Amino acid sequence: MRQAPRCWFAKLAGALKQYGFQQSHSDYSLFTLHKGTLQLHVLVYVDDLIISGNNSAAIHTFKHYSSTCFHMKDLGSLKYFLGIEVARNSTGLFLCQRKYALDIISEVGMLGVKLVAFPLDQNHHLPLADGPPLSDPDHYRCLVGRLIYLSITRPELSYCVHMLAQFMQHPHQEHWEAALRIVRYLKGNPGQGILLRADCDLQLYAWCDSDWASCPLTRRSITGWFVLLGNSPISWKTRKQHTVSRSSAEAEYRSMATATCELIWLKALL
Amino acid sequence: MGRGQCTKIPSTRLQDFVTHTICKLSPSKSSSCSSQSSGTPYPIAHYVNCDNFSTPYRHFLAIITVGTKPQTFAEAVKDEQWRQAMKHEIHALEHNDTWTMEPLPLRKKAIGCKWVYRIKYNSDGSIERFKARLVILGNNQVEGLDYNEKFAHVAKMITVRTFLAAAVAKSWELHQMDVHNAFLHGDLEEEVYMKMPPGFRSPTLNQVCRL
Repeated sequence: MRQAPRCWFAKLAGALKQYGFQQSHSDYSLFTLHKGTLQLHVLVYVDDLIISGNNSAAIHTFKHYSSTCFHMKDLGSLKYFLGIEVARNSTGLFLCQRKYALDIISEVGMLGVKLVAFPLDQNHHLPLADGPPLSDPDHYRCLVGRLIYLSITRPELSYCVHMLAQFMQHPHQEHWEAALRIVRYLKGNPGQGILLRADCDLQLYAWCDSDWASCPLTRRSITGWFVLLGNSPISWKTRKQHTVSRSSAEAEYRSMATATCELIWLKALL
Repeated sequence: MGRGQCTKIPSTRLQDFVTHTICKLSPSKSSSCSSQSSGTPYPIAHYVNCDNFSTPYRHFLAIITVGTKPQTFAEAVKDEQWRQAMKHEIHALEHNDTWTMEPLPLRKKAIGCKWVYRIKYNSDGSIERFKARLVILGNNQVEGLDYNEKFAHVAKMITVRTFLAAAVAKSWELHQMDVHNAFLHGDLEEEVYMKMPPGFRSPTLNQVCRL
């Protein structure tokens, strides 16, 4: 049913608010509860809930409450969420999409191919590709879509996926080959992911950069940013700027502005 | 269906070729099988290594990597487990008062539905249950008639990572919960009719389910 997710979220949000939770204004899926020293946070992803808090008794009380409201199942500590494998030890929390990467590799039938060391040719001319258009663009779209989802735990794919995703409408042979090259790169280390470290302060560190007029079709520049919370990578993006910059300085300022935007949002979220 | 849970259909581009001669080894064995010849100089087993994971976690990884499920109703009826799963789902739907049986009014169209199958795992990796889900073909719904507002937001991935990073830094516990039949809990404002699910028949003729 088209409207089912909406109806469900409205009902869940109502139940959480009744319990005393506050809906975050930065992301409506985040609910927080502050009561004296007690802190409880709930993150909702449709029908999956992640609960964290500084008091394990309170977590159990909340779990009990939510099970009475809805038919819920307690999955214990976080392990497998949205296809992301989660492993925790004293160093921190390791997130990877090993299974998802392996699925992509076997789906395109590349389990036996030779590796490549980096995902995209350095001097590629993808925007100017003049090879034959793909006869089956859906296949390309599907693969790139999966790579986009894979970049949740792989910041290094951000740029390549950004490049490939621009040609979803009219993919050419070169684009398909570039996508397959990424898959060959993935094979080198399907279990690579990110480590969210336990021993860190809650300080935000951000880096940003931009190139100048690198898109030969629109002359727009590309911005990239990367944000660490303590030592844990949390936010990264490669994005084409909206306007044409006349100098590299202008492009750099624009990239700083976007990165600052992101930081302001993250500060509000924290 | 969750992401990454869809059944994998081999690419049509590759149907003229033999592609899956190199089978995926289960990760728990990967390190020991690396010497085995699989007909390629670059077997996947050389690149997947789970040696650093604990045995229960390896077990969990091995199980989520394998597992098959039927694609169509015709395939699923043949198996008792899936038949049971479908009965369960119908039972849950009826228990929730999801629909009432009514004759279809004039100038209303009933929307079709289909079954979707998946295997659910416990957090230690063992198979928890076989799950059949009845889904309505929402692509046949008409805006303004069958639905009005439909936007629902999900958490941004950046929020998920920030949430986890903050929880780890404060060494808080992290727990996960899952709602059974989440979308059945919502309250529907519009009037929608659905055809009978495949495999089930109403006692009287021309009856449809009003949701």
